[in-house]
Amino acid sequence: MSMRQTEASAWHVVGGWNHVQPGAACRVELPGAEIALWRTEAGAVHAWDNRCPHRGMRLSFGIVKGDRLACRYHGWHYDEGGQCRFIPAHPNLDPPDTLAVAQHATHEQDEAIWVALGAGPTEPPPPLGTDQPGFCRSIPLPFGADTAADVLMRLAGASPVAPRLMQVRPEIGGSNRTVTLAVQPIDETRAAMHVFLDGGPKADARLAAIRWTVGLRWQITSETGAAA
Amino acid sequence: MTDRLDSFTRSQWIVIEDDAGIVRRAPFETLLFSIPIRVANGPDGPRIHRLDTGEALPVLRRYGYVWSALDPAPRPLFEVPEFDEAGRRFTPCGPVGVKTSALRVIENFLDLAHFPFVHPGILGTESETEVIPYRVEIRRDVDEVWAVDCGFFQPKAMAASSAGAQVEYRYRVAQPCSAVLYKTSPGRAGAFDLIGILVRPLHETACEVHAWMLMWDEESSDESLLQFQQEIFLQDRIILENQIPHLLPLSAGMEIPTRADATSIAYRRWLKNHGVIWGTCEGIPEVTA
Ligand code: FES
Ligand SMILES: [Fe+2]
Repeated sequence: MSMRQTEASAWHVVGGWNHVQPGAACRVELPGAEIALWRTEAGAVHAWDNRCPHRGMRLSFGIVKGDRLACRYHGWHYDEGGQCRFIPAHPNLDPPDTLAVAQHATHEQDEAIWVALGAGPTEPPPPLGTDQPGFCRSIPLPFGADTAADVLMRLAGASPVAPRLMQVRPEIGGSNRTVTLAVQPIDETRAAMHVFLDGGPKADARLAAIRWTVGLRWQITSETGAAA
Repeated sequence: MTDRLDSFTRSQWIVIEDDAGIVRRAPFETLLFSIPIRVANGPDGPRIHRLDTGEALPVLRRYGYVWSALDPAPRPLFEVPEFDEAGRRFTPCGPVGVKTSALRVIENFLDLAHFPFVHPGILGTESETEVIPYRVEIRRDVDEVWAVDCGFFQPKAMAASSAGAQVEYRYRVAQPCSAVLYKTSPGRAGAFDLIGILVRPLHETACEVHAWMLMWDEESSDESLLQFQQEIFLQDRIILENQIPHLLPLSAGMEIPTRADATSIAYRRWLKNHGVIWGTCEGIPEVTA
């Protein structure tokens, strides 16, 4: 199996729920793919190839209009299925079915946004904890995903629970709590880590977990010197 | 790398700097198709050398610019007779560095359909987005791509415009990296103002863009003319640096045009017919950057 096929069949956390707000678009990277992640005004999240089929403009620069994404260059409108619905230069033209953006699978669960390239696996992604996990913080990592896993095991004492998912029980806000670390692969030299905390929506503990994450980031930076 | 430099591109005069810029900056080092060059100014005019081989390159002074070429015998430079007519005012503008192919920059310059979205309130408005059919022709005598009878409603077509107007455009691709726009003058009924764009490839996906204006406009200050061009160009630059891939695709299928893109379609075909490789996706399987 090639690397690409392996990645294509896997779910990846690409950020917390608030990484892309309703009516917004942003750019995310996975190995071999650049993705436009956007949310309709009603709240549905979509992951598309980050390239407008017309003249290649990054769709992450697009403007959300209700349940459509309008390209920033010539204003073509795409519906939630990626199908082009309106070409402003030809307002009376019905765009052909062939005018469509390639889509990727998305899933929202545990306050995380998951993306899988292409149609994605048939199984939904695994849970990010056992007791109402919630999103705390994302940090960039200056090395590839495999190295990231090693570093997190060594520095945070995290242990793997699923591919690209690790857990640790640090003391947070006075008691030991389960923290789940989701590693998003990007390329050979970059990855990202998304941190989730068990225990439901308790703001005090979350702030403490964010502080713990920042501390871990500091440790990673000083230990590896890579981000200096 | 220069093994991607095709003979058509290699034989073109390429803009180096405007006359005032030469006086101000020389001697300086820069790039021409990824080759480092040195530009000096002496009593007998500018001299340009390759830094890798030491070879002297041809120099031409025309239209307020200094031009050079890697080929010792470049093709003749295109003619712009309006430069010799009295009455218009010449304003050079630039350079601006852009991280994309020079050919993407030219294609963007030839594009009418983006005005309402990239230059709202200036060159277009979202209430008038339709591109009326226009004619595209290859002028065999001069081997140039022309688009004529292009019309567009513009809220503020030029620095001197006081109100919105239906503007007539003619586009002309004079070289792979040089294009001229003729547009109805707000200052003089029945006359055309000219705006030109000259692009020097630094690398295949990085270039330096010079623009010039030749206009019936005695009112506007140099500063306001420059500011107007600059504002428009910075809006285009955001687009240009975020088009994927940066290299221009010449083969059909990778990007999907419509009738409004007739000029771009003809430009890409013309480049392909001339065997242009530099700055294009030609010869690169599955380009992604
Ligand atoms: S590039 Fe997206 S509409 Fe033209
Ligand atoms: Fe523009």
